[in-house]
Amino acid sequence: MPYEWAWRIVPRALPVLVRGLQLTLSITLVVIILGFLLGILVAAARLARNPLISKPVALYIEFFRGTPALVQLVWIYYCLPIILGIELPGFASIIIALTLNVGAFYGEAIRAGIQAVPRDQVEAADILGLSYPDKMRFVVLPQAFRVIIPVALSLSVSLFKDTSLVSTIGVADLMYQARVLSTETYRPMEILTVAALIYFVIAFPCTVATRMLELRLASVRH
Amino acid sequence: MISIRGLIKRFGSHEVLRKVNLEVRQGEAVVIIGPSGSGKSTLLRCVIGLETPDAGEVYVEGRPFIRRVDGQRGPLRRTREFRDVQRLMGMVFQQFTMFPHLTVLQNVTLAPVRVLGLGQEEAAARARKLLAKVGLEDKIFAYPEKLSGGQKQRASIARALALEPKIMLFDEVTSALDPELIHEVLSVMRQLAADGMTMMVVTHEMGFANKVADRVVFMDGGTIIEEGKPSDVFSSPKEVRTKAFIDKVLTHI
Repeated sequence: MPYEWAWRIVPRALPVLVRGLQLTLSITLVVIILGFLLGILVAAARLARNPLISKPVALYIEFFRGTPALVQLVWIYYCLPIILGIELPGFASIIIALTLNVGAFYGEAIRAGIQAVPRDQVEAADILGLSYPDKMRFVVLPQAFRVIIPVALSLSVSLFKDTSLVSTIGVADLMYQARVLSTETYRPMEILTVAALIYFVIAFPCTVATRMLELRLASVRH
Repeated sequence: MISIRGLIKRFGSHEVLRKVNLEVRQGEAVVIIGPSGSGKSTLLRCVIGLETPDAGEVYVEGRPFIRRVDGQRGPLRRTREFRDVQRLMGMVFQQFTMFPHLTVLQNVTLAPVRVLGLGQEEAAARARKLLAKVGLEDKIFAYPEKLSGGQKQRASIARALALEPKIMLFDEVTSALDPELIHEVLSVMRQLAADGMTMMVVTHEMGFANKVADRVVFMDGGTIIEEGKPSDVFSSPKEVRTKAFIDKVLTHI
């Protein structure tokens, strides 16, 4: 017997899914902001001459890039409170976990962007007598951001999708609500299809915008 | 004006500069010639502090700029005093180094505003005057990508002059240019020399060296082989290596 789709449950499910989406977007936004700030520090530390600073940070980056985000999330949720001996609300631990994760990726993107600025641009700034902060602000960073912005945007889109991992530890995001509704209604196919569409409707325009921005920035050359 | 004493620079085990001594007097245009890899560009880069020499001293207007003893480790420290003396020198490179995200005018006013503390208006007025001098008054709002190579180099000269340097260093500034654009850059440099600017010029343009230089310095293998008036160095070089080089570059036409 062929599967009978029961789309009539969608109107009932939608408000719940949208409530989940709000939490998903909040988590994404908070983590983008905190992660990018962390990424700036990570890039600065990675570029430091002192190996006592740059090496440990390199290790942090490799660890978070080389292990699954789900493992990081679960580990921080369950193990960190034990190690620190404190209670961590679920929301705090997922913010910490995701921030540490994307911070590593943002950090590498920022470092790569800064290092992509040609050496002679830096030298020209030096012999014009610009101080280090002025050199970064007026010469290096504006050029680095051409490289950083598209990468950071596509990392952010990935992050938006990866927040679905938090549903595994009971945070009521879009994915969590979809799973709960699936069991409640016995209609996982319909519910998950709608959830996928919601993710797509948000992620796709961002991806397109990123690609367009990337092309525009690439066409500006000296 | 500039005093270079015992400058040594090594890249790994290769000694690029071998105890170079050179004095450049006020208002003098010194043109440095020599085969590729003879250390000419490295010399300029050491003088202005872009490379850290392994040993030697550089004085600018009597002020100590670089003093290294052999075996001293670590890069030059960009202290306030270091930057103040460095700023007495302007430099233009072979590569185009205009900042691509700034207009020509912004390129030229950036350092006067941020380093000298000039107001925007004053810096812009100074920039316009200098850009007119290098023939770019109609390009002040253009971005560097819209300029030809020759225009970029002339804009770079104006940018360096905006800090009112006491000496200008030119490192093969016409080497990356199409032949028909070389002239416009050289004529700006010739005008500068005629105005009495102290200059150190590394170039392969022998005609320029011959006409503009007060003194020609021939370098080979990291040392100064010979120096003198252009007429002497070009027509009656004293050293065998100088003669070989000059014969080669002049007969290839």
